[in-house]
Amino acid sequence: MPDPKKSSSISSFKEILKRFVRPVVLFFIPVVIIATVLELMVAKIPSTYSLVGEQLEQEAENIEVAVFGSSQIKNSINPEFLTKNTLNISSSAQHHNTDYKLLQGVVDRLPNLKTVVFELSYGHLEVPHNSKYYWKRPVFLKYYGINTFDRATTPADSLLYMSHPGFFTTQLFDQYLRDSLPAFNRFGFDTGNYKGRFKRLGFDVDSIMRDPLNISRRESLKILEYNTSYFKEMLDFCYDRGLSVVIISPPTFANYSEKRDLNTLQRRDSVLAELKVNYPGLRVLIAETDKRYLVTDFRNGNHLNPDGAEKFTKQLDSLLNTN
Amino acid sequence: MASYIFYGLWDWRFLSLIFASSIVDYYVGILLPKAKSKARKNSILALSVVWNLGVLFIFKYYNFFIAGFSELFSLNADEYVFSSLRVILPVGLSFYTFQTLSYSIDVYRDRIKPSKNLLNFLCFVSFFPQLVAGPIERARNLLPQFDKERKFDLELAKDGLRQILWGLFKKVVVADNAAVVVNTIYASPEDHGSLSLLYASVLFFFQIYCDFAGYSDIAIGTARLFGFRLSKNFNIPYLSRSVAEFWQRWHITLTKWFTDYVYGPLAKNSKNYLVRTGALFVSMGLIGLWHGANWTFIVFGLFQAFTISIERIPVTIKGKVVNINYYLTKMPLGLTVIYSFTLIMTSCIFFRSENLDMAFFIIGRILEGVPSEPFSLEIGWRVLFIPLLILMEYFTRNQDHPFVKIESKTGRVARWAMYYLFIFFIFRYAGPKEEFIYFQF
Repeated sequence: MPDPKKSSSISSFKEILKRFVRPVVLFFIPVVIIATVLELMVAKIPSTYSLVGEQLEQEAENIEVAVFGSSQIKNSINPEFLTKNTLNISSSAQHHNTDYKLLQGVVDRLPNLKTVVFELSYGHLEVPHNSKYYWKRPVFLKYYGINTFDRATTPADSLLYMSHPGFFTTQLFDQYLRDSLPAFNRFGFDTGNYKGRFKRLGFDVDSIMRDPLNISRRESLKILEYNTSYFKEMLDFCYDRGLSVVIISPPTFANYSEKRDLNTLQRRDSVLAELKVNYPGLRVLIAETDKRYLVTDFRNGNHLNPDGAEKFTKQLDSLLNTN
Repeated sequence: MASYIFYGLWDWRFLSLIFASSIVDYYVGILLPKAKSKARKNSILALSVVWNLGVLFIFKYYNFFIAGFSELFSLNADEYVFSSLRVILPVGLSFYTFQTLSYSIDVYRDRIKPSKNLLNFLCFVSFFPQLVAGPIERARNLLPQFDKERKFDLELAKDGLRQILWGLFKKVVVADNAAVVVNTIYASPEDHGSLSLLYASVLFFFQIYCDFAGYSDIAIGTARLFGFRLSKNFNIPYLSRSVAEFWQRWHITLTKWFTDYVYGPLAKNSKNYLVRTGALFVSMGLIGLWHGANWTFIVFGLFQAFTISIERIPVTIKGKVVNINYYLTKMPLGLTVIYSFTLIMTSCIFFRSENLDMAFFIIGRILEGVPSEPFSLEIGWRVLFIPLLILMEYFTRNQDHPFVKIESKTGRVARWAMYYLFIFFIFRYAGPKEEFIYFQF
């Protein structure tokens, strides 16, 4: 700290500008330039979000189904295998509170929307909702034009790079310096996304079963109570608008499904049973232990690869086409 | 006005509370010197104490005590008059009530003259850099700075910017990355072995240190931009030789507050070990409770009181009265740091755990030697930012922050390169955004 007795005080405004403001501005000019360039470069990277945003803009009138959920859903629903034009607006770590805000943001823009698909996987009801720091809010604002901030937005809220510099720097490296680019279809689904733990282990079941995997086994009745009532509110919202609802949970491999906490699972199933009674017409597709899915259908214990996604999407399609 | 806008952006409704607290203590300060008798003086001070502690009690502790009372007598709180309140905790409440309370006590003790300028007093209470998470300033340090005419201080402002940079690095790069590991492992401690839990507990210490000390650096740096000098709040606490020394280096303004207004009056300069220990337990228990209405915080404080009391036990050797602290100062720094860090880290497990059961479970599991599955560092090599932080702080340990003397030791190019490097770290290696932990207190 500067010596308090030694005065370096300046009273002239001109002097302040010259000796402090000008060097500070000069110092930050390169930072601002680099940040601007990075922001522009990030905005040009094709991503699931940009493609879903385009679909939302260009095909809004034809979209009949909207799918919400986390990375499990993002990886397991490829809309090109669905008969009806479908918007898959799921993304990693996206929880129900974000799903609901996105649904509220799109519902009036999709005049032909008939069905909404929500995720209710194991543990979903006992995991806290996305916090106010969920970094994707700027992404949703930028690409979907949906405000999920719970407050009025500012221009800074649309800045992508600044929302998660670490993540977007990696994206920039991948995009401009590496060869393996994602193979997105027009729905934003990465059809070449086979990389993952299972592939690294050569799809060897013994190795996979021995491979350490921590899954949330934490029971939380308070969160369960809150999340359940929140989820019912989401269902009420859909029913009030005459939208039909499908609840899904994609397949998981044995290394994941066998580690689930049975009490948590039972509580989720009880909630599902209650919902089926109270919400007529509610359709449910829980495929968590569906043995038809082979080890080669997975990227890891609870994420399908594009082959598995094709199977599961077709399964969902059959359900969507039944009345 | 800027401070009130800053605070109002969080929740404008609580502006009335901070304004009311300021008004009460301002007039208490005016009335105290005019009181003609000791009894009158006491009753005026009581008004400040009751108001400040009352506000704190209602907003922060009411539900905790009602729940405890109900549990003790097996009552259902909802059925009785004293049912729990649905109130949210105003940000910075614990900080500014302590600031206003200390003002009134200092006026009562004739240590400072009461402020005659309401506007300056309102600024003192609500000064935005330190309003929400300290440092807890004394009126004798901060209030005169509002009273005097201010001029732009170039060196102070430049140093303020450097300290803000250092604070941002601590918070965004170290604390927020450490939080990733801590949140993951503490979310399901039963799924993790001893080594993982130990790793998470060590990281939690650095998380909370860099979170809080980082905020203090940002606050102090911001104040310097406006020509204000705030008190130092941290002094490399992880290099303490003893738990007692830790509290002279950790949240220094809070420790001084409790020393002046709780420990001092209780111990009354007594040399009696039992009297001092009793005062210590009360003070540390209250320091724990200050952090939050939860038994984990109380045990956090009491655990430290216990270790300090052990360190202070007087032993007569060859006619000379000494204690463990004496020996700790004579031992190699490395050994004593391991000793104090182990104890501090253990107490931090209480701080981080949601309840006492969880804390005891984690401590037990660490001691059991449960094998950890091969665990990743979660944040990869980013964990190396912690040794970098330690090295930088160690080699600049007698300064306010590591960039203090950079101007006299390096040319502009090297200096700016260093700043750009840290700005790069902040952007590139920022952890997921986490709210400052101490905002909740």
